[in-house]
Amino acid sequence: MNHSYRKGFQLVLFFFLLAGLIGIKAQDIPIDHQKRIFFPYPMDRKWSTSVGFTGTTMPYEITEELHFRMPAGDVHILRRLKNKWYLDGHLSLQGLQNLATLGPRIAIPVTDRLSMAAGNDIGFWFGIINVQGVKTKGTGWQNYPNLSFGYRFNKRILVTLKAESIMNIGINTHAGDIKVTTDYRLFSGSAYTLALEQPFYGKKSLTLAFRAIYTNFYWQTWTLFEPYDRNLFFPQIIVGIIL
Amino acid sequence: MKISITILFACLISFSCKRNFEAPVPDTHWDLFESAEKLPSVARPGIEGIYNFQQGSDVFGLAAAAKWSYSANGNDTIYHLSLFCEKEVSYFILEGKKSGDSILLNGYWRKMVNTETGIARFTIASVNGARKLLNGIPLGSDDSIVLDGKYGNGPAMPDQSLRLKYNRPLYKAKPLQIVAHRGGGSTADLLPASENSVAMINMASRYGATGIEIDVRTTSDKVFVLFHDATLNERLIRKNGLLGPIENYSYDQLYTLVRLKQGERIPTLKEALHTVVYNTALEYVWLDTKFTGPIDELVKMQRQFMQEAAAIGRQLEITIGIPDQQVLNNFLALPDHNNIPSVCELTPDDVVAANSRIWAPRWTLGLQNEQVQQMHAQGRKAYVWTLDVPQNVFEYMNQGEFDGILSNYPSIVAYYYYAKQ
Amino acid sequence: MVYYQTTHPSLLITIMLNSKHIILLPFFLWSICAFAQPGGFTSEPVKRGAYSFVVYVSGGLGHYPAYSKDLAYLDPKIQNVNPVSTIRIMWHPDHLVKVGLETGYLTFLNYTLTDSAGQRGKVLLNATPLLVEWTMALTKRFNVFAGSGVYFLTTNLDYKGKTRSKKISVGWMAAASYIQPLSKNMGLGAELKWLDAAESRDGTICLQLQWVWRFWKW
Repeated sequence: MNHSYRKGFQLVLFFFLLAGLIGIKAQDIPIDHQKRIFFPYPMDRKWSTSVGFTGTTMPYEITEELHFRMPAGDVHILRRLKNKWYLDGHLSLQGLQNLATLGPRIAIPVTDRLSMAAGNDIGFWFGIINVQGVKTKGTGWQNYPNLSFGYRFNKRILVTLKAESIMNIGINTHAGDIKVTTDYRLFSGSAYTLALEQPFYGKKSLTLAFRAIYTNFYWQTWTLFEPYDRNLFFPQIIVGIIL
Repeated sequence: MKISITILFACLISFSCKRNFEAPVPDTHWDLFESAEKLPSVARPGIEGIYNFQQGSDVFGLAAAAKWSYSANGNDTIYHLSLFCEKEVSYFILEGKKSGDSILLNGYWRKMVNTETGIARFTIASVNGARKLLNGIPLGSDDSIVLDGKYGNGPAMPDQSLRLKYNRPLYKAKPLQIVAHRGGGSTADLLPASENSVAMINMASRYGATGIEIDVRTTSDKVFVLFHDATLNERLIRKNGLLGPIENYSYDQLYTLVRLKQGERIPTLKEALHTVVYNTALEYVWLDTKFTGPIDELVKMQRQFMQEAAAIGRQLEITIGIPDQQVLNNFLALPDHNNIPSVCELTPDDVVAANSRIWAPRWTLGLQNEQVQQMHAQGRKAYVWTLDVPQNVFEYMNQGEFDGILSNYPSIVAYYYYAKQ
Repeated sequence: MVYYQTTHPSLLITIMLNSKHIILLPFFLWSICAFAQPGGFTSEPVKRGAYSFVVYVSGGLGHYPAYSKDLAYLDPKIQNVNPVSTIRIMWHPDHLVKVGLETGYLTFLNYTLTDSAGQRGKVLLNATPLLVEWTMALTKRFNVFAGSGVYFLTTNLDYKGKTRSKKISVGWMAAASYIQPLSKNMGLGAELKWLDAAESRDGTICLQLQWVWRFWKW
């Protein structure tokens, strides 16, 4: 991570620490009926849905001068299974290229405020894009084993830290009729998410999250056919309204 | 609360981790090498060839293509022996010296797809071909050159064995122009020099290039400089507060205030072509015209340096690059454009209109063997760009009919080319 | 002002020790607070169904942590501390998290240099941010902010001619503020803020005096 991000992040986390030390003194509200997506806790309703967007900044090594933030529509759907189990489905939508992941979670409350969850998501991405007049197609399978820790502050503030391993199981890309070989490692990197969830307005709740992705193949960059075998840094912001 | 603080501290440490990638060339100082004698020029040609790895194939692949190159600086000429390998686009860059009846080779290795690098040292023993090489005696069919050596990782002393045995000569039947992108390679590939710099041009042939592609832009006072991106940015230059289009700045401002990532100044086109003519053996320069506006001054410089090269007996072709319609229109506006060597990236019809010597389609359009054959029938050549994926390089070289390949990894193009049978 | 390479753990202390101007701000704030009204303005939600718009007008100084390795070849004289002014409008719904927009004007980098021939030059890198921000009141008076958006960057170069050049960069910010109420709808406070233009990797840590006004509620 470059110098600026490191300084800024340390500042953000310093504020979190300060918040914790200040001790938000208010009436404690139980977690029941509080809307959440990232927070690892057994579901109290059958379905939970959030709609929002993500913005991922591409590193210079990949996009060179075009240092832009790739926006994507973001949909999360949780479905309670039984007891502490639930399914987490996620869609990252950009029209011409999209990613879908689905996987089980088991959520375990550890203390009154701390809880954790473990899960594994299978992902599939696909894209058809015209790159400089050439129809370029790609598909790939991924796997994301993950672990989450959540802490419930007062005033319905839910903070989650999630760690994921990024595995690329298969990548299949074509530029026109030419098969392009994209070298990748099975264990392609990892991602770390810090999420804040709390009521926003009316009955809607808000997810605000930052995800630090370190990977040698990020699915949104498949059209660039980059040969680097380095875990590059892709910072991603996540905003979602929990319906 | 304690747990929350612990978790947050874990975040602090985690998110604070710097992920800077570097591939610095290790310190290759070797006492024995420093005290050895200069390698006689008669010894060099015999070392070139295809070698099989008898030890080290798990790291570098089955074979290596050994090829000499040079860079001259006034009366000093430094010769480098490059070993181009297949696995993970690896290569060795070595210098050679004579030690008694043996030949010492000293340098470093690097893998282009990641940042692995380290020191490499070889010895060619007298009985393994050195005696004959040093005395210019042709090697017989029973002789074989063996490179015995060691390599290390990073700055560590070499301690892992390498052994290469000569197999056959380099392939040279059908010529191929190996064109290195951006003067030799991209800044993001963490080479010892920045892209589009004089230092990189000096190194290009060590990476396997026989020609280079360089990006030409103009400053506010109409000086031609080498710079790929339209704007000054963090990717290419050291942070100095200067942003925005490079054409907003004068050459004096750029000269004083800007340094490329490895510390070089932005070179003028004149400096770059002077280096190509007088310091290297490069045969081809592709001037990628990245500015709009008249190109007659660019053509004058092209002519000047081609004449200077011819005057000193250098074989050198410099072509004006035509990447888009705007540049094509400016090119066609020149009264004698039919006689100006150019390379056109557009359609075959545009190639004919500009009377370009070279057609250069993008690799994603496919092998296009039929169109390439048409170009050949017209007496033109075809170069394909920009091929970096090794499997695709191999496919285009063996199934295509292109006369040149432009790549960020000229070493893998060189390996597949010289290893052809 | 001599430039130096800063490291995070001592950043705030280093600023205080080296920037006399910033030391004055807390004293000014303390004196204002001494006359401030207890109770009154807070960013915490008041009651369900109560919405409002709040404007934050801030002015102060920013410290640019110069990286000695990058600029060393110029041997520049860097002015690390420069003015920063921002204006922010936030929508306060009836829960903790609020959203809004912030803009303003700041100077990231400001230095002079002398070349080998003795010719002087000056470089100014200014920015106008436009950021979507989220905020949360942690206590009645203490708030944290984070946001992202774009920075409109302008380079002003005066060396062998004047050059002005622009660029748009994606960027982000993070801040914490303390607001002392002056009345039910107005407050005065201080904000510590990090503004970061990601593409040019320029960031500045700012300390600002802040006037807050709830100008519309329903």
